[in-house]
Amino acid sequence: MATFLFWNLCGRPLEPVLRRLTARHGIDVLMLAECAIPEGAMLNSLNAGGPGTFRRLPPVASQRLDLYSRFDRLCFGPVLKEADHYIIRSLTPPGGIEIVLVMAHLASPIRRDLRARHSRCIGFAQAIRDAEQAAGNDRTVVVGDLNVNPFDDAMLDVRGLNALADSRTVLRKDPRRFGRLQVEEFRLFYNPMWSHFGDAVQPAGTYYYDKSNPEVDPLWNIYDQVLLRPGLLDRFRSKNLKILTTDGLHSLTRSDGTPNGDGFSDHLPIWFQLDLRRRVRHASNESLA
Amino acid sequence: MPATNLWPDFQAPEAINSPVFLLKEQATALQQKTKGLVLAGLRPASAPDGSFWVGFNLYSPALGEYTYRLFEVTYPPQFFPVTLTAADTAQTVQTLDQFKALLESVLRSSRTKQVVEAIMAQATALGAVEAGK
Repeated sequence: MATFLFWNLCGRPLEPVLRRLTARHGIDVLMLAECAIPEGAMLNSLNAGGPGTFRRLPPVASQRLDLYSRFDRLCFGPVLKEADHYIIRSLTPPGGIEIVLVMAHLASPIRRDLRARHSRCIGFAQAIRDAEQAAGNDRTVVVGDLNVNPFDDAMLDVRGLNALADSRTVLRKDPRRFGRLQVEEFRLFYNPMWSHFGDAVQPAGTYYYDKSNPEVDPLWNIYDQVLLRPGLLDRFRSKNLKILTTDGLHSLTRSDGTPNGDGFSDHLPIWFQLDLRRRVRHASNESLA
Repeated sequence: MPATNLWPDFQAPEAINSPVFLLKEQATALQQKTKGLVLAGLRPASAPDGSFWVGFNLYSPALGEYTYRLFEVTYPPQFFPVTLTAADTAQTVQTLDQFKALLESVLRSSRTKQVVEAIMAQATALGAVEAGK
């Protein structure tokens, strides 16, 4: 199993919390947005607590996202596509298959309205498709603070991220086709974050905001998301994705369940696992099938 | 009897005040400025509301498939108003002169300089590895 953690740190010095989280959950790949912790301090902290040695995988020119991993540098391919708000590269864990890893921190609602964020998702989705073509691989996982909710147009638009809530529907309908004479095809993503809305399982989202007070507002948001292409669905189980509320020592939420942005970050971290082990097919099994 | 042609005379595409030609000029200028180490390309797409979307990508022959999306512009079929989105800011302008001024401010920003220099450094380093192979 390859184990991932994404967290928007909101610029907070949370190295001790990250050390506990990475050790407690056996994190292999740590992805951070709004991280103001210097590389040296981060590595000292991460490597003091758990097994393996974390190292930073630097981008070429991007500045808003940080990637640390216990996997060898050689497991990561070169950066394929990059912008200030995303980094796309390939990852092949030891003994595993190659995937396309997309990290993102898209424009904030504070700076951009929903329509502008939708437009940005069009370009982001296109960069993902370009990267998949360049890598010759569509086993893609998108991770990050997308600053749109799973139900927003940017996530559902076929020219946007085209991400649906039900994995069986994704497998059945991928790719979505439009037009009769000139058929356009749009690859789908599965968005497991839909299952994390509401209070059936706490917390009710990854980000809570009640200060702008518009009349239509869910208050709880899931801006922090994981999206999977159909080729990875048989390597993912719903139980292997959690929005974390504790580092084992401290609660990351207040008593009302909302993220404790004063003590930690106003976003909650996401933990998930993918079974990326190379599968060996036995000729005897194939002949039986 | 000669064939009837009801079409008017059309302007040459370059004579139309399109923001895209200005972007193409800047792509050519970057190649000259970096001696071919960093190039720029336009990546078009269609937006859902029928407007046009163009990404301005930086790349280097030494870095394989790598591209850096420096900014994006969106505009309607009549070209204006055009919106330029770079990093976290989106600005909309109504005329080609305004677009030229906005584009200049983005291209001359410290962030753009930093990005181009980072790609040049990476391309030079990898080019040296390639040469020493």
